[in-house]
Amino acid sequence: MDITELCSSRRDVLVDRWVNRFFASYPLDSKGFMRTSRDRFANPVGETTRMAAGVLFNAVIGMDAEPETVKGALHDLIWIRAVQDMPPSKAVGALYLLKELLRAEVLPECLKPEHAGTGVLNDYLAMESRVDTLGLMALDMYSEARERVFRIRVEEVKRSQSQVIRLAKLRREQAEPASETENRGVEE
Amino acid sequence: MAKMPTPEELLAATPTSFPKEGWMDTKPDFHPGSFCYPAKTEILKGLGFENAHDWAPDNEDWELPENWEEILHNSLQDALNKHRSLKVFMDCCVRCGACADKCHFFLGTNDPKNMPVLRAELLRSVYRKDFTTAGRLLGKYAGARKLDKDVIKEWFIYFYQCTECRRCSLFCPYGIDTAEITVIVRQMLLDLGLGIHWIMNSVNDCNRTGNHLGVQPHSMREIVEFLCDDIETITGIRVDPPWNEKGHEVIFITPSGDYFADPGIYTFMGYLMLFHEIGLDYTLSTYASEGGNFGSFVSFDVAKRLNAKMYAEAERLGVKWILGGECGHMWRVVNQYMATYNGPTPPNMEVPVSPITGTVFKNAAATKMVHIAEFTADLIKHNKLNLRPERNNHIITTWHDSCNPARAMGLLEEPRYILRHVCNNFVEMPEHTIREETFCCGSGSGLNAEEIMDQRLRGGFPRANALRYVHDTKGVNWMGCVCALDRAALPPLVDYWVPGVTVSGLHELVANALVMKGEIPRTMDLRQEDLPFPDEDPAASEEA
Repeated sequence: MDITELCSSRRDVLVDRWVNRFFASYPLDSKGFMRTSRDRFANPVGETTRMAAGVLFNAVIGMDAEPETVKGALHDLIWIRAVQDMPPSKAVGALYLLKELLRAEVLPECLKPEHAGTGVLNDYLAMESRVDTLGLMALDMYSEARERVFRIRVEEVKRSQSQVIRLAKLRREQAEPASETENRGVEE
Repeated sequence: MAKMPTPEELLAATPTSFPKEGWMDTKPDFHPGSFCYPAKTEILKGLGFENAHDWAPDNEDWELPENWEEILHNSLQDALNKHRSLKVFMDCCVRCGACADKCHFFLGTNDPKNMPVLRAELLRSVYRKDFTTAGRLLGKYAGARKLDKDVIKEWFIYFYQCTECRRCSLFCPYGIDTAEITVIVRQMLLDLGLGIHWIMNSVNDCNRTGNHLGVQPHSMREIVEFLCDDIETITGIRVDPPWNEKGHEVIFITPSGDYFADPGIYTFMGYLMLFHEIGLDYTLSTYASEGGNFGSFVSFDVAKRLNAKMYAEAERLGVKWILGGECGHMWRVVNQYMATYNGPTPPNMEVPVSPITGTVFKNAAATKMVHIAEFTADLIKHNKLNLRPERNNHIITTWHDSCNPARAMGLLEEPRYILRHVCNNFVEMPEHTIREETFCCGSGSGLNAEEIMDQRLRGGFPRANALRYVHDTKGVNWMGCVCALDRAALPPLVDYWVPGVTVSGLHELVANALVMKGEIPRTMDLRQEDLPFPDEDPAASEEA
């Protein structure tokens, strides 16, 4: 029995349930809209989540996947959740909930006596490990997103004061000879 | 011994879990990043808000005045008496839900209280209780609730998560203007002494110096001199704008962000270059040094006070009409409120006529104020500008319709007309994200405060998502807009969601393409970055 084929045959159900685990991060009153509106511009969070879950699911079950495509999908998902006012565990953690779904839907099949000795259990465990890989990648992405937010905040302050800074520098240059400024190591 | 929770338990991720309480009883959460810093007491007092006091949003006790209930009741009563529209908005909503999924904050947060219908319901429920018979008698069964201190906190969180962009109003069959409701609730909060620093500090500066940034006349002039130096470096032409001079035909008024902050300054340079090139008879003013109006975000009375300087200066200097720069909410104020706030116009003012083309701007007959995109589009239409769009060939641009010019004054075609003449590569974002249906930058109505950056990034996500699409599929690397707040708010938004896209005003692109009489061959753009397609040097051609 091929684990990839087995999971593929249940793909629609599993991806849908996984997506709903992500949507569980949001208030109940919003979930209906997130689930039913299928326009990527009218429902950007819902549809980005759905598209990302589809790509990531394929990667987890062992289908051929371009690393950049997988990274891109995970990036889209995590960078949204990183600014949605949820704790990091929640932002990233829903990825791991795929394991629970796989254990309910796929593992019982793998444990059937007729598949004993076929190596399918090893394949199953390898699949779960790929979920862990996604989790680790997501951790890096979450942290990168937060660092970007902090950098953006600093840069915004600089941008909003650009002409004042320029004026202040000019006045300082006028007040002090250039050599003194240089000697003090003032950055221009 | 306690057991470790499962991941499902830890994340509370059961898809069927129902909330423990209804929306009326769900309390807002205050933590750093979820609210703007409060306005300073002395600033509010100076502006005449008598209940100004020290408080902190994340404290349990907001130190409200003892008679806070009476103050709010009277405040709402006053608003209902003054604005018939508010009474209609309170009564006529049938909760059809057409607006529910149209708010960028709802789409970015998926918080139901950001659905415009529910945001308005935060006020409407109190209105029902205090001002309708059904609400008084039936209470919750009629959608009414008693005003308590948690309701005030809820208003503070959610009415400062509305950018007054009015996208929801576009879809409302009754045209309920959520922006107006938001302004009124913010006014009610100010009556309790509750305001935010980012807005009220700007209001205070504007009240004192004429502009939001508190730039004093000599500094404004010095800063603009810098920009003239830059123009000379780029074009070899010295531009010398008149200041506070009487007897000119036009006064030019623009938001202070245009001469103060990146990237607005490049747009300002564009204005100066254009006016010099066409020989416009105009003056700048250090008194009317702000087109924007942060007062309009929180109070009609304050908005009126701040806006008055435009006509006062137009009268003092004896100009015939006002040319207005690239701003967003300024144009909502001008188009929808200025005539009633500060009208009638001074007797020296006339229906604007372009001195270059002779076009009569009848659309500005009431306000005597023309948007620079209308003015420049008219110049191009009459072939009055020598343009070399090839200078912008490295740019594939899209157009962000800034909410207020698009929805409050219908400025949709003019910027596009200009853009097509100054850029050879123009791509529209997807259909339902542009024109009247444009998505907000997520930071409008005074919410471009740095401390709520996360909120701004998620609120701006629907805009960025559409931009990302044309960036990925059409190679778009530039986004133009006609709003100073956009020029401040979109760069961080783009930096997070779509790195590789530059944000600029319209007249930066115009000036890049503008061939000025007597200029040196251009080798750099207005940001003094090398042009990938520089002008040919005539001297070099002759030598060859």
